[in-house]
Amino acid sequence: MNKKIIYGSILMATLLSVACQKNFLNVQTTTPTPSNDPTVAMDLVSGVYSSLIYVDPGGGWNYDTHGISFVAATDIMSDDADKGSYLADQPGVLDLDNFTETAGNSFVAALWNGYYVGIGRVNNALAALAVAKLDTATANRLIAEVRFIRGYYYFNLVRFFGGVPIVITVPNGPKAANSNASYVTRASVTEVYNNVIIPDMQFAMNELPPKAGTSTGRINRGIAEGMLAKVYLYLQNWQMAFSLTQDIINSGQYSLVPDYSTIWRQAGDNNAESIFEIETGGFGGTDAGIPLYSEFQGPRNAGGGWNNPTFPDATGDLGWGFCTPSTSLISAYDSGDLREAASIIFVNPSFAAPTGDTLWDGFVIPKRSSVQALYYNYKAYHSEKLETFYGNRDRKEKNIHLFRFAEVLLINAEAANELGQASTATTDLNQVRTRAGLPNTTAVSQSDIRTAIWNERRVELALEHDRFFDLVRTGRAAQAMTAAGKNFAAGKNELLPIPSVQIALSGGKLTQNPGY
Amino acid sequence: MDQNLKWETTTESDIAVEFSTIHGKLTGDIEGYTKIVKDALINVLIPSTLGSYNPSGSGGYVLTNAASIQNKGVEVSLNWHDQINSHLSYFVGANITFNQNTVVGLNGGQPYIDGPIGADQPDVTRTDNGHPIGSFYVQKVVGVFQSQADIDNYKDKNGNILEPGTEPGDFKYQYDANGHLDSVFAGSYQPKEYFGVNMGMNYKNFDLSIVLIGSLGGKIYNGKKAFRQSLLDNVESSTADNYWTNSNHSNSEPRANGGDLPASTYFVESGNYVRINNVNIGYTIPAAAIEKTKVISSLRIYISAQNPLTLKAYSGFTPEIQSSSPTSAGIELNAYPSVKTYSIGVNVGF
Repeated sequence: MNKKIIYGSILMATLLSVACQKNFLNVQTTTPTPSNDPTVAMDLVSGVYSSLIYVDPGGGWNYDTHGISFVAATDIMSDDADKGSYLADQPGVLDLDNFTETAGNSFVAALWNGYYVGIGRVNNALAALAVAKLDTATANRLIAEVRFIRGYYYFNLVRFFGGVPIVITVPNGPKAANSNASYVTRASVTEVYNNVIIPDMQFAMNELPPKAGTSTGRINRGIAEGMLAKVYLYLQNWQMAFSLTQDIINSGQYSLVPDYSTIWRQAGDNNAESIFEIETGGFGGTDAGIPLYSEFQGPRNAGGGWNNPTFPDATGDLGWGFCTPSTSLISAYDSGDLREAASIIFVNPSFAAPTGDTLWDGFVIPKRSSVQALYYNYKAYHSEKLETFYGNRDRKEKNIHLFRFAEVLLINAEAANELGQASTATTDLNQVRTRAGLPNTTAVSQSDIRTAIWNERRVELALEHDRFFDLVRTGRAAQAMTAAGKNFAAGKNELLPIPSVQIALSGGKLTQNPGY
Repeated sequence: MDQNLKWETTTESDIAVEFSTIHGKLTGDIEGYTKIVKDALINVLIPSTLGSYNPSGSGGYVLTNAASIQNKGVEVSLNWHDQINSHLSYFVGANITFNQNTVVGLNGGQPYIDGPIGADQPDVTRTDNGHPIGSFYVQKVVGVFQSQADIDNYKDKNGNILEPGTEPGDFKYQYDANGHLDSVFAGSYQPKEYFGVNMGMNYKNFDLSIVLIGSLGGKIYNGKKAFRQSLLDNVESSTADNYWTNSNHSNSEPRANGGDLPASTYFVESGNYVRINNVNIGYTIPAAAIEKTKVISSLRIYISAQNPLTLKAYSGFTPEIQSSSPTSAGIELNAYPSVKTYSIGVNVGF
């Protein structure tokens, strides 16, 4: 027994010494780093794109750029839509709808976390791109793409929260905020625009090729230019807003599609009108959409009747029934406006009718008594029958159309009107109205044209996450919210509260917005 | 991950006296101890502006050498046993530990925040210098508004109404001198005293033993109550029976609400409890009675009860709360009641 152990030990020792001589145990392994492997940087760029459609790996709703928190803090918070579902469902969303949210609201925290984690991904990608062995043209293109996304995230942050901390470098470890207070100290709104949003978008616009030379889904020149024009609209820099939108119009890359209603179907994804769109789709045989975006807003069951003869595979209702279009929005459409029926699913209000309305793909909404609400968001509807779908309703493929050519025309119109070019303004405006089946505007005075453009923005961009910001931008939020019967406090509810946890984590350096 | 992670270190100093007196019937020891865990590894939440996100967790947590924690205390244990006569003997033993858990150093310089519950209470605990780890840091409820006049009279020093949006039946929270909502440290799950008693006796062929355990001074956060998000969620009968109404002017229960209350002392309950951990009664059949079987050498019949009785201050099922992290200890979200087990048995010796 003992002998065996001794022999064994000798054998092992011999093997080890032989192995060591041959450097057997010292194989050089190469860990991919940004400087020795350019795919690292390219993967980090992909990570930035994926932040547009976050999936919380913890299964929760802890961070969000365009999911349910985004829907809640844009459309539901505005006068375009109500919270929906049953009263007690998601009180945190109801608080946003009623402007009773506190700094502890988890949906508000998800937005803050989502945008800053996305910004962190951009900063990491930029750090990797700075040392990656890529040809200059490729590197510059990728840098421009992610910088645009960073600028866009800051544009959303500044509209949700006001001035926010500017983080444009990779923090040096988890304690970085202790040594560098700027990571947790709010910059002014002007600083955020001038030091991040405008330079990032301007850089992207200068470096990127136009839509025609870019593969679908990548950031291109038109996206950066259009969003920068919108930024200047917010800053009331009419000249810049006008010339950038005019450049897009003159580029010939975009046009209004004839049928408004097709824009929100898969067939309309990335059409001639599309400028900035969040891409979703089937991926490896599974659904890869923004978690819950479509389902959250889908028509909801109120008791039976959802077995649909045209959809033998579909069971039950279409979703959770949030973000129901408001009567205020419905009354904003002129009669004959084709956009009304394209934007809103109308449930047949008659309890006597055997079934409700039929959607564009043949899906029949059941009778009134089976549906919770009278109105739902058609722009969030996804056809399980006629569009890509692998069965995961939580992640339906539904592109979000964040920026369309119609808005370029409306920005051009508004800027032109402020610059005293009434005929350019009305020409733009009438293009949008004609497509909607409406007669030309009758507005003549500068002030009437301004109002006409603002009203047009509401119905043209309804439920496209613009209305609340637009009301705040134009100083109409308090008046519009009061008219819609909402409990809006002027001077407070224009902005969301800074999440209380983040204030605590900053050691009090992060300051709260007024009134919270 | 923190690139500079290192092992935590523990230093401990003890001083103890052991004694035995009255012919060895009374024995005991008294021990004073100080144990400091330096650079304890803790998952801490960091500002999300740093781009943090832990893909396996549920927030921006980073594992780091976060804090130094001191446990200081005195442990006393006494044991008495006596043989009265050839039929009767008994013993009683008791021990009690007085412990003080204190955070004595924060490596980041700032308190750590943890304990997220549901949609409206993102930061229930705070780990800060001079307080026990994972202390509850919440708004202080000072009562319930009984009338509109109550609300109108609750003002800061400048005469501004402190809670203008509230209605009678809502909580009245404590504000500081400047009219800001005041958060207070409201204890932690760490008990200040914990103890155990074991006793037993033998009388002729009967034997009896009892073990008791318990703790005092700890707090439990009723997270189940706090987590409630909707009017359709179940509530405890005590909430349903006692909520504030115009005819039931409670000063401790608010009016019926949708559940989205901020974290407050309302949810902090005492964690004090005493539990009879084990009772065992046995009877040993006299040797003479079984001798003739020539197979069995001993035979004892017993009845035992595990955990038959818990006296607790906490309104939930059990005062013993599992938690994944010491910085969020004592938040009860889904604890099962502890199981009671009764058994009858036979011990046979061959």
